[in-house]
Amino acid sequence: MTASGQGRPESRAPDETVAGATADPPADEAPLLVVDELVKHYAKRGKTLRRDAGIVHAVCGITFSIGRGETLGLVGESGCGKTTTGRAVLQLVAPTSGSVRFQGRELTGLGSHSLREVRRDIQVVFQDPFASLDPRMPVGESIAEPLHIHGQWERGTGRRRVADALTLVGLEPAHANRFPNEFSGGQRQRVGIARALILEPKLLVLDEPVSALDVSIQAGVVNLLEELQERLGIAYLFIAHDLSVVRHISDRVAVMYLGRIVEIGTRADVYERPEHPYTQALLSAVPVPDPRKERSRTHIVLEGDVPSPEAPPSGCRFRTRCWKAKDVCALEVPELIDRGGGHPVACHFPERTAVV
Amino acid sequence: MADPTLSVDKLKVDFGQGDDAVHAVRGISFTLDPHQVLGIVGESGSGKSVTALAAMGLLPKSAVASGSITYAGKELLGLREKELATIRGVGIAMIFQDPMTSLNPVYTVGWQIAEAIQAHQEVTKSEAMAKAVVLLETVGIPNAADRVGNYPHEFSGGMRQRVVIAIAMANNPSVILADEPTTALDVTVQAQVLSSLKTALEETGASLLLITHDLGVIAGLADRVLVMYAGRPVEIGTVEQIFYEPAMPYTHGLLGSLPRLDSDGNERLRQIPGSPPSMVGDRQGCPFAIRCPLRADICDREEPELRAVVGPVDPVGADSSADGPGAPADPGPAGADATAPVHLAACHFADQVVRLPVASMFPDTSADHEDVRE
Amino acid sequence: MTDTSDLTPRQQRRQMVATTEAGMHTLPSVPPAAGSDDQDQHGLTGEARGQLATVIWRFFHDPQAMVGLVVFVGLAVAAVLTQLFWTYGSTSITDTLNGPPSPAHPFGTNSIGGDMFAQVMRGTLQDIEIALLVALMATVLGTLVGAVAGFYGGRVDSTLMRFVDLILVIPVLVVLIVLANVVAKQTDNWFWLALIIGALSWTYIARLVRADFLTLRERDFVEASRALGASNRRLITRHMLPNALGPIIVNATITVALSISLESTLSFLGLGIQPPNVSLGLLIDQGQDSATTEWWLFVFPVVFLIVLILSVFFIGDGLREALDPKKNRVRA
Repeated sequence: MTASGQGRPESRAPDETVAGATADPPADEAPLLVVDELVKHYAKRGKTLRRDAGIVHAVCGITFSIGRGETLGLVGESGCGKTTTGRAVLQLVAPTSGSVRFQGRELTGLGSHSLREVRRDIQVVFQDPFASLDPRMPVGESIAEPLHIHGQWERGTGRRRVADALTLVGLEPAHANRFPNEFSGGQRQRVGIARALILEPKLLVLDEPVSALDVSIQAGVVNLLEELQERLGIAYLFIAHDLSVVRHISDRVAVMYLGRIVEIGTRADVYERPEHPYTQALLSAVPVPDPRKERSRTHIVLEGDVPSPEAPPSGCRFRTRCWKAKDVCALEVPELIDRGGGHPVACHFPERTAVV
Repeated sequence: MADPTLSVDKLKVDFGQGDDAVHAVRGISFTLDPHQVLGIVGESGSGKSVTALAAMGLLPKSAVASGSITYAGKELLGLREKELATIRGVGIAMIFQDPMTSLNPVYTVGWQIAEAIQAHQEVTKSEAMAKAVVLLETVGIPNAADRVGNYPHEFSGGMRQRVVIAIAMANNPSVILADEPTTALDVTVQAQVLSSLKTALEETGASLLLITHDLGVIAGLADRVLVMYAGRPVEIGTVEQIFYEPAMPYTHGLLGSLPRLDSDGNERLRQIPGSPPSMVGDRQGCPFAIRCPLRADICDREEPELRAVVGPVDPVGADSSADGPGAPADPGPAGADATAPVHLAACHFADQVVRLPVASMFPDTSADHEDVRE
Repeated sequence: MTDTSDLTPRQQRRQMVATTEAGMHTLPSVPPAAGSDDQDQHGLTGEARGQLATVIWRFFHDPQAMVGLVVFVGLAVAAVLTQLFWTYGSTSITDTLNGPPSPAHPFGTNSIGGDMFAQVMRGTLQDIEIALLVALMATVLGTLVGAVAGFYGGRVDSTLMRFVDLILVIPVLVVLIVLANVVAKQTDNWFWLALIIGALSWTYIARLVRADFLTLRERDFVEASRALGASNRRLITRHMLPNALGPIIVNATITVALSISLESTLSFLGLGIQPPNVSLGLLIDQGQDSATTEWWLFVFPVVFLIVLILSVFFIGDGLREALDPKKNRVRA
């Protein structure tokens, strides 16, 4: 594998935003991935005869972009639609509407042949290290599979590339003909990463890549991902619910709630200067492993449950649990724009508060 | 010195026999004092869940348990179901990871709480129901008076767990055992449930045995912490001692591998190489040795006992013997003394380790040189 | 065909995901050999000890399965050897009529002087041939239909399954009885018989494979391959089929056993194999009247039939155990 590619863009001024849009990567570089008003609705299998019955509004108009070599963390709790977003970007599910442009090329509606070409450059790492590898294939074969699919397999070089991939993720090349069940969870996840990287993609979508791992093993995989990004200049779409991990690895962060992005900005913006009440509640709810700090923090405890994606509230979706909710919140959907705080936030009454 | 309410002494739990036996718990002792929160922390394979099951009397038939678990002076291990049932709910209440373990889907929530109350108190049905509503309010369920007639499936996961907490509180237990109560929940829901749990502790004055792998939750709730590794406790201390002055390399490693919400994210995480050992068969020496940067010969020969740690404040007469760092000057008693905050660690070099900055001994690289299992 | 519900996809999955948490080592389902080093510990050469090797190991260490295998193979081999080397053929006629077992005729002779040993062996061979052909047909056809239905789902699935239901509704025996007269007249009638039985017994495998594929389709590693750009064909052949193989194989062996049974019933009723061809069922039919007097005409075919079917069942059981052993795993 070559070590070409750019690292983190250094020519970026902190908190630089483009008014009226999402917090974009530097304007001198065309972004690698642009997602525009992505919508995904699932129809539930006909339980009732009513027309509109049972539509799950999984993703409702998401817009963001990722630049070369940077990491966008997509966070939210269950049902927020972040996993569906990931799958839609990968075209594993067809978006209901909206556009996904990769390197300027529109991905939605692409034929399977063209899509396969694009898949050389966009890859994915799944959450479950047990399930994402075919249990009946030796790991070397799993890692080599992309080469076979894209016609890049040749006897001699192929094997060497697999060995290189294994070394790259910190495993022993000699273990290539072992089966997945002989590895530990952390090692399996590394195999999954090796498989995703062997074609040298430009963008890696990671869907909860460390959630299923023990804490002490997560650290190794997270470090690996950081190192790989520095060496290879890959961009990451890092989808996770663990805010601590996301803070650690992301350059920019988008917070999702019930299918919409409620706040997006640089890592510092979101973690140190959150403006949306949901972001603040989310951050304050994460327990910090530091007894003195944890016990002296204020913890915002939200009332009530997350509404069902089948019946999202009108206007601002967070209003049913928001302590600031006023009438306008039910009537008008707040747009994701910069309201003076330096980064886009979708709230009628944003208020910068440090909660970490 | 108050009488400990729950006391575990040299508990061992094995599954199966002979060479194939899984030694899930290899000798754990601790006491849970009244009004205290003890957090048991460990990763998978540490034996913490099996310990919880043993304390609850819920071990499967294939398990062989030895040692002793006493509650209010009564031995729980080996007690018959009938007698255990009299203690459960009123003496020891339990909260599991999956609320549906404790909730019956065919009865309303109010009915279940009322039933728990009536099982141990002399009250009428309507009195019990009234109390049920109060309990639901206490744990923070909105519209409690209406929702008391709902069924479990009509609540979300977090709400269900709060109902379970309400049931646990119903009879003012002395001890609450919570096994990974918030692990499966979203973080804002977790905050709600933890807040309900805190309320429950305040209202009932119960002590809490909290078993989890989440160090953040421990930091927020626990008074004392017990760290488990490979079936044994490897460090016990107050929450401050464990987080700020860990004396066992594994604890250092755990703390150092956590990404922090409040850090600026530019530091590398420190990982512990390798992975937890298999629980099968017998072993010699310290089970953490192969992953430990301080590994020495003695570590492979002798499994370290839990010994009192001489903290950084106290002077230590270290000797300069040739084979590695000196031995601790005064081992001290291995038992727990409820009045003095005893800090115990199972490491041959605990007194050196306690002086090191947290996690500094672990590498911040990413390579994994762990061997593949045969 | 009977229900082999034991090997559900969930159980297969449970075997794979032996513990719930990553990072914990699986309890070895095979105890590690004392003092084992780098060398593969089961005596199998080669570096990788994969699923296949583990399955084979388990099978060969299951006494019941081995008994079944040995007996089945033994019977097959004996039958073939008898064809080649035994003094008498199945159609030979000797002078000894209704002779009890003797050194020259270990199984005695029947009313027209035919050697029973040759006949029983020929019958056994015939049954095995039919059964294997049926199993092959049923498995191939069933797997094909099931895979397509399970993989594509939707309308393809519904259409195919409606077709399967149609076939299931048809009582096999009735069809056979109806067609038996036609078939019986063919010289090669065993082949046609096998074909008909096969055509009507593939449905169970189809349902099984379909169910497996429906689940497998959602498995992460299939999604992962799809995300890599794998074509549907690749997904089916390289990922899903190998993982669905377990129940297919087990069911194939059950099909073997049951088709022997079915064929015997038919022949017993006079609707299956016709003379001068021989099958165990036919022999039983022929011998049933003389069961009390010339016991050897009845007993030997019956015993061989039972042993044959049992041995196949043992093999099937052994395969099922080897693929999905039942163990208790504990979360620590």
